[in-house]
Amino acid sequence: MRENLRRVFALIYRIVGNVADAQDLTQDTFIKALQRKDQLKDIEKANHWLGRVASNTAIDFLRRKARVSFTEIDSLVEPLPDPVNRRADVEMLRSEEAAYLDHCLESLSVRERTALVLRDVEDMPAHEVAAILGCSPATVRSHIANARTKFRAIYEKRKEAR
Amino acid sequence: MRHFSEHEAALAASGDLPFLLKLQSQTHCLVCPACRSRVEDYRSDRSRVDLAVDGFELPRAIKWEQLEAEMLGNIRLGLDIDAIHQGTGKRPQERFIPWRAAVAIAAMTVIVMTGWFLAGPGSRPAISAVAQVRSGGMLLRGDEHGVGVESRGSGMILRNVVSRSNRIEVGLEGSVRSSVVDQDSDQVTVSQIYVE
Repeated sequence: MRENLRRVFALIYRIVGNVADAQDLTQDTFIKALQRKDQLKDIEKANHWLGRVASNTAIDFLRRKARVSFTEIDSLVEPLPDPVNRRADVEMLRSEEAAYLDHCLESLSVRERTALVLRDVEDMPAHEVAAILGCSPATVRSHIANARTKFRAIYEKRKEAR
Repeated sequence: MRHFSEHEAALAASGDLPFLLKLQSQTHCLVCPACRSRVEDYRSDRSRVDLAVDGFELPRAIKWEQLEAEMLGNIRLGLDIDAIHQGTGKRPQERFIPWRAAVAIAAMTVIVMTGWFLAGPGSRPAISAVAQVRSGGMLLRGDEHGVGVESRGSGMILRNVVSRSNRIEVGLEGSVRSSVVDQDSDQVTVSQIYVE
């Protein structure tokens, strides 16, 4: 469980963007997964299944949050609380490259970032990402393409500035 | 020969283009070094995203070991609470009792009450500790009213405020724990005493 805990936490953290929510949602994910472990047919796919439970939990949370604040999930462009303060205490111990990559990911909208992380890190096919995000595979492809072009542009820009 | 648009190059990196376009892109990449290089760049970005997620670092004030221990503890607690709710015969959100179950519960209550009257209250043993464990000269005990500790003639009890304990557990290393489910809110209160 320990080795998966960090992976799941990292995945959720990338979707919701703050430690406190990521902690709660990671706990929820494991409780749900352990309660429903009989649903897991193929042990080989346990990591993939856990990734799905984690991303569903995180997306449900964002949906609830969006509903409470009467905004759509798409409009939550920057979910990270007070990025300036956040960066100040995070920055010191980070390597330059890690900070670049962080910045690239944080510049994406919630949907773009989630689609990208699920596709590139969790290796989910577009139709699975679509099911989790509640949209069509074509929309997911559009999110992924937007995310990659933005990510590339920001990464290149910062690399040139070094 | 048409070059890739940025979106096409980005999607070609993970094979997410529609079938025909994917076929065209693969052929095009064979003859166009510029587009091949763009697709390669996007492929490298995929591993960068992976790296960014895997290699995330917490804010300086937060230690992963502490966070991990807290999460593991809360996960265990969450599973315990679920088991306690299951032990009470209902899930937190299930407030509705179907009529068949209601009839069965009523019938069982009648049987229990009849048995109690037949046996008579005098023959009932006084309520004593349901579970107890001795550790380091102290006696830890738990019953339906709560949990307590006794040592050399004095002691203390943590009493349940509203309901009776639904579950009492003792740990042989020297701990006693009672869990109470509030009948109205379904919230679980866990009281635990341990000897250190």
